[in-house]
Amino acid sequence: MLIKEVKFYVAAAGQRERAAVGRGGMELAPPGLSGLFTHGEGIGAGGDLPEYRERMPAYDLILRLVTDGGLDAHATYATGFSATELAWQAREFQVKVAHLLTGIDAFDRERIWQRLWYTQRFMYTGRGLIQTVDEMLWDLASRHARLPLYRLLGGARDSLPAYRNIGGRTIDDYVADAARARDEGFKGGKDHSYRGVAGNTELFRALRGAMGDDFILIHDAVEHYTCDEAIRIGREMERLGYAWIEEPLQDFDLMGLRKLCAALDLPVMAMEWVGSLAGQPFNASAFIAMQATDIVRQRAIGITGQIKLAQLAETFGLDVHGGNAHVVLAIHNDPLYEYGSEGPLPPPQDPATLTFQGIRVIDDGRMRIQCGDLPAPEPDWDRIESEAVEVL
Amino acid sequence: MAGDGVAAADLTITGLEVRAPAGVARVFAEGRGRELAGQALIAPDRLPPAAAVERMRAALAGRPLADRERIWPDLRAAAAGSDPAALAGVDVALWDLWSKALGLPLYRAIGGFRTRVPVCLAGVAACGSGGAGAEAAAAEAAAAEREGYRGYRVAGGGTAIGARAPARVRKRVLEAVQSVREAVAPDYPLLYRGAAAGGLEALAVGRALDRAGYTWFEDPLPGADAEALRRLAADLDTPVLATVSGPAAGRQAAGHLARQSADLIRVRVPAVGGVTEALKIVRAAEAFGVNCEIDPDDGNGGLAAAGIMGAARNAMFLLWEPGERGDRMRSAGGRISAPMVAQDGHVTLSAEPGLGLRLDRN
Repeated sequence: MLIKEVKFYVAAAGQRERAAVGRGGMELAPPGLSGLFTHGEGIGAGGDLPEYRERMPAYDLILRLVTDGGLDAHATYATGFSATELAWQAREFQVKVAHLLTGIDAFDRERIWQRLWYTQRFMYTGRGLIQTVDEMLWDLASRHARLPLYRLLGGARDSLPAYRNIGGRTIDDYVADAARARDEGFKGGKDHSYRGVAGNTELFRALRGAMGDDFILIHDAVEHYTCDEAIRIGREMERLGYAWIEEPLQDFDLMGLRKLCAALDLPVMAMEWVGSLAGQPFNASAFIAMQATDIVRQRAIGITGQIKLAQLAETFGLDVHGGNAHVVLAIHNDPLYEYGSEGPLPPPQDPATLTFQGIRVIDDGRMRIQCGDLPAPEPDWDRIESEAVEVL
Repeated sequence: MAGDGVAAADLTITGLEVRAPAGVARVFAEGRGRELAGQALIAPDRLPPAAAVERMRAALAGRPLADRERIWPDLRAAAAGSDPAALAGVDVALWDLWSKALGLPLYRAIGGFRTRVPVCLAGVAACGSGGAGAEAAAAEAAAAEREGYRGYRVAGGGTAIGARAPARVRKRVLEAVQSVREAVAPDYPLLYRGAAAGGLEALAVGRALDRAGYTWFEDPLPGADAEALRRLAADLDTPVLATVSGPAAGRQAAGHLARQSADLIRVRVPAVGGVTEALKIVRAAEAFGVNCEIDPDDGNGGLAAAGIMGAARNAMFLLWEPGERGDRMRSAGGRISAPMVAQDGHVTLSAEPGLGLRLDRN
């Protein structure tokens, strides 16, 4: 199934809200002696932060890889509030990237992933290019096979236990949010609390005391400790039966992470930031070989990259954590599903309304892809073409 | 058809049979009005006992074909007591079936990287055995280059050239390494395969390979001898290849990668239990910037090895055994009716769905 042509459509998407919302201050990490800065608010802190909001005409830039096989790959490549800007993004893609895809079989995902990996380097594209194209090709394969992606990828399981991020301004807020999470069925909660060793010791004791021993507790430090502070809080977390400590130090600090992993019994998870900047699975190999992380934060690029990272970790007997929900279900070595801060829970739907590709739901504290038997809707390209603001 | 799936690969496994003495594993699946079978070969002397076949059948029957990762641990447990080659036969048959369900060749079912894989001639002239051996190896290398093979592997053999070996034996091996180089272009890829009696001996051969610009030094020491391999790999410029095998092959590979006790890894599909496990080792090696070569002696005429190479960038050569031995390997002892062929130094991967295994019905 050869990719014959690359087409872009700038499509009017009606009115959408554009928002610029403050995130609060960056302050010295408590107690202020380390000189490290951290985020003053934490997740879910709320408060009176400055913001601008306006409803404006919006546009979608739709990317279509036309094949000679009856199914095309497609994705929303970008969204924005300027049709002209989106058209220029399309032109840039057409001159730089399109010729790297045409003439290649749409099932030769490995070739395209590898080619775009180095394109990323030479053209400074950022990770989005590989991610978008790779996910399009997997989506195409899923429609070709009439299977949800996680089963196409190997389908290790149909569901797994989920926790959610908990937040608040005060310790009482955190405890109340953890209790809400449990009421919602979640098996655990993860804080993003930047209180330093003393403040977080107090928080963790309160959480464990209120939630009992069976509720999974996880701490995401987002780089606000020094190594010796991380060892001290890690010991407290070991006593309180925490599941792991996440991003305790700067991800760039391989030596500190290695020392921390050696010191603690508590599993250490690193690589969210260096993984997001790009580089996984290739930069994960050094973390793994140096034993600078016990669990690898999954931030590899594209479905193809995430499977590579998971299999790398599996070969070393390690877990990964996070990433695409379908990848998480396709592999054995991610212990829990993280429900982030993306809004209200997606409830189960009437299966009669669902396609075979399914939707992510969290139900009874477990994440699964709920599938129906409907075909995946194929875009009406004639209509999209005739209604497009611009076709490139 | 659009929107309703082209391949309709949501099939359910219905059965497994292992035919003796022919050594054919067949798996069956059905669903959405389709009935498909996948097959692979198992060496007749590696066939699983009947009880293991029964357990594997029970582990497979009724399972969704797509759920490879869920099936794999159960299948491996069910195969307990069998040779890994028996487990591999069933795993490869499942991959054949899965690829056929998708209507794609194996490498595209995984995610294709290439449609042709470079072939390297595996020399048979043992250069350690004397002057005639070295001349024969040089002649063989020159012929390989002329015939378009993309590289030549010297069969160094297990000749002891260590401190206790007679000086003339040591000299002979080291000269042979050089004379093979002189028989071909300076940049023509040469590999050396030779087990050594110990680290110092391997170092002596390796230095000769360094001087002559060889592409890799294959299995100089037993794969389990990780510490000696690590020293050798650190000392030599020539990349050192170590083969991993057995149920813990993945962990063995992990050890080599983390300790840098090998510059290249190699797996043999029947020795690691199949394509599922081999692919994971390939991906782990890739993340370390390390090649994972795939031994063509996969029990299926090299088709599984070539299929994996078609889906991976970090494997350089499909080794090509010449002569009757090679013919026997590629036809799996006459069981494969259409063995793979090399042309212009490459094997072109078949576009037909599945593994591309055509069996001689007799």
